[in-house]
Amino acid sequence: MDKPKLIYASSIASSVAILFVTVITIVAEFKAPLKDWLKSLSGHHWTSKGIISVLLYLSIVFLVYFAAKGVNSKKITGSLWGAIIMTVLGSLALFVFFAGHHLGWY
Amino acid sequence: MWEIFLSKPVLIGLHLAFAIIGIDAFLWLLGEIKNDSWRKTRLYRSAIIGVVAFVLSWLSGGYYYVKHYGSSVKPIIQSGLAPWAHNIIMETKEHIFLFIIPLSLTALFIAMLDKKKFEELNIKKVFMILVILVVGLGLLIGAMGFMISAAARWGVK
Repeated sequence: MDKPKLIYASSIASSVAILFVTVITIVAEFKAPLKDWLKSLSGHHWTSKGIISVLLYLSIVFLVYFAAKGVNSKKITGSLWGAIIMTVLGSLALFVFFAGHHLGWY
Repeated sequence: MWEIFLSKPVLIGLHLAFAIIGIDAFLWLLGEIKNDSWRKTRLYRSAIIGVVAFVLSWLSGGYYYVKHYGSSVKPIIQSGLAPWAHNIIMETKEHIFLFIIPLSLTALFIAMLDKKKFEELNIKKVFMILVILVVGLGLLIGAMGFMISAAARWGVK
């Protein structure tokens, strides 16, 4: 197993899964049919988001692992920083979104 | 037997206990990364314990959330003195929790490297920040969980 490639693939897949959870959560609050569709998949919208995000993470790890070429220190460092920044931004976006929703900003 | 195992207090206890084990294991991992001798077995052991604990915390907390929270806890909070505890804190917490699993798996894969490869890649600083982020998210989620429980217990009008 090429471990540096696996780290690179996992950090990119983490960023995509985090972005997916953040975006679909916010969009589904405005689009009732989307939330209903998520609910219809597993019985609860949160469970569906969890299952889809895990499947998305695994698929992207698989794809990037076999497609990526020339994985080096610079690429791995960049992808890890990307995952860290995406986590911070995703967390802040969700908090601000739900705070604004509760406080009636929109 | 299953009735007790899947009851609200046991599920909440498991959710919290596994989260504490996961956070502690990642703090142990952080200490191992800082230690320049790169003790591979300890690095791998701390990371795998952390990942497994976070997954178990996710499953026990998730089952509680889907099975019990929406029907019996959420209505109490929303009609109490602190409805924001659900509308802001719980809504944020339940989604941020989903971030921890891929991040902790990424940390596990780094912990599986041998010392020579780890030094070649020069990723010690970013690896430490990733682990600190997982620990920080875990602690933040714990604090949020406490606020939600407090709102359900003491926020009743």
